[in-house]
Amino acid sequence: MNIKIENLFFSYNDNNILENINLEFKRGNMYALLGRNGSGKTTLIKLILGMLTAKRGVICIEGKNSKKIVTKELSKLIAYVPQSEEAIYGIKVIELVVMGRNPYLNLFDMPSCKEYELAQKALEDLGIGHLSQKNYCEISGGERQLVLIARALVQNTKYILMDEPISNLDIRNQHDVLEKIKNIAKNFNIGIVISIHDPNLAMRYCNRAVLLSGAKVIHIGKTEEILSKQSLLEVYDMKFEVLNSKNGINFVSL
Amino acid sequence: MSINQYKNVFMNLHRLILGETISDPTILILYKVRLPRILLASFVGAGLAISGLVFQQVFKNPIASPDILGVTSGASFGAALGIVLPFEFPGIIQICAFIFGMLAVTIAYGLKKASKDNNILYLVLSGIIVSAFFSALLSMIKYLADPYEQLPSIVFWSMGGLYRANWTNAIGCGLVVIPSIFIINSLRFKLKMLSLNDDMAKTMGMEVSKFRNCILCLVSFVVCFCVSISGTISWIALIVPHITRIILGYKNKNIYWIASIIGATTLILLDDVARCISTTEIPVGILTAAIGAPVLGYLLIFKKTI
Repeated sequence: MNIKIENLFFSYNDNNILENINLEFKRGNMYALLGRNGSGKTTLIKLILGMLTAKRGVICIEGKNSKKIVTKELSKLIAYVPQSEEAIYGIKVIELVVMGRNPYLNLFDMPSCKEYELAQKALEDLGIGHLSQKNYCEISGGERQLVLIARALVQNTKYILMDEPISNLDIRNQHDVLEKIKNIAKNFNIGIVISIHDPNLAMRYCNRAVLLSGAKVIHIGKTEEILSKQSLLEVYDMKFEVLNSKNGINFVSL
Repeated sequence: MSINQYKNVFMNLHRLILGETISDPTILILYKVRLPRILLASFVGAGLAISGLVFQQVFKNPIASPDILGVTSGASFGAALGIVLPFEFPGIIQICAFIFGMLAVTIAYGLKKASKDNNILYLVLSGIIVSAFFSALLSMIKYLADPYEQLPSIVFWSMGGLYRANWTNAIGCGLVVIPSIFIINSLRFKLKMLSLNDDMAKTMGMEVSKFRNCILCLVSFVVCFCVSISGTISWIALIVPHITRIILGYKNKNIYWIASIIGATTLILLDDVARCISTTEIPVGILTAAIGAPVLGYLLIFKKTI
């Protein structure tokens, strides 16, 4: 089962953002969405989540047309981690994480002890269990990002879409967060799609990559295979060298 | 109960409870005037306070109040219309106030729907438009009203007061306000989720627009019902949520009940002051505004809750 996108087309007025997109995201893999600013990475994520409506094309999630999946059911299949979330004054970390259980609660339900236990476990899985009683607006940017990932984990979905989740983090936190995301994909058999700017981080942590340029997908496949000198030139219109490092992971240099 | 004249009415409460014949004037005052008035003040205060709290949460704005959707303007116009209508029957002012208060909210929602945009800002703008429209109609009625009888009645109604209290409207108000508090309290987890970005809440399975519309309709109904009986009592809905947050903090599972209790207590106390401050009763809406404005200033400068 997968997320399958066929002939997807989206435009803002006359400005084509995505044209004839055909993609497939499978569980257990970590996909890097790479492309220049305005190449349609965020739009693609929002289309899959149903925040935007495609002009043409079909998005099938687990074999079902996403337009026919109601909000609650969709939220049991796909979770979303935004680039950042406004600090909600006065809310505790555990309260924010337990919101991820909303798809499993009815209108008048309150989260039970079991839901809070799940939220605490997700925080502990990410190594931030000690933050649960802290105020969300009092923790650091990196910790906040992990909290948002914990909330997505608590949602217990088959896929997690992440829109530049590390763009506000320092280099150490970027590696820490990506390492944890990589383990999540592997350990929980979750399909993760992550919009990212740094090809080196994509090389290191994502086993699949999707390159977007000129409103189209120009390459899709194994990261080490498609992130080449030529493809990077096509995407970024800039010459890069792809070098081999001692640990066997390629890296990109100017 | 014992404030103002007839201070010994409270001492006679047990006689009323024991079922003594209600013929003594003291008991009559207690039964026919003060008890329903206290009950009405508590229900109206609670209703306005909880509505204000919900509006502030839904609009993510600490100075949001139920007036934002034009309820008060609509109800004021309705009441004025009820006063100038050439025929009379009991409760016509309240009925007109209620109908036009709800009509204002409905038009605000209609305008927002016509804009085909789920952004809450459109709802606020629609509320401003509706409010301005009904204010203009109210001015028109004031201009055309008889200046010796109708105009003073319209002005007096718009100042707000609990002098219309009787058992019927007190119980009616309770039947609207108390179940609403129960419903709102049961929805507190969803209301907390509204503090998130709309798209974010949607990815967690929340039908944001539907839920928000339903909860706003519920609190608008409560406000409309209260305003149709008491007239415009401003500031309670704005100030009480802030006082509650100062006492309880921002997130507390009992916040809706406590806000209701504080709203009820505040209006009972202010109504007592309104009855006693001079030889004649002054409209409590004047007092709530006179006290509410400096309190808001105090909260703005010293408590940083705004």
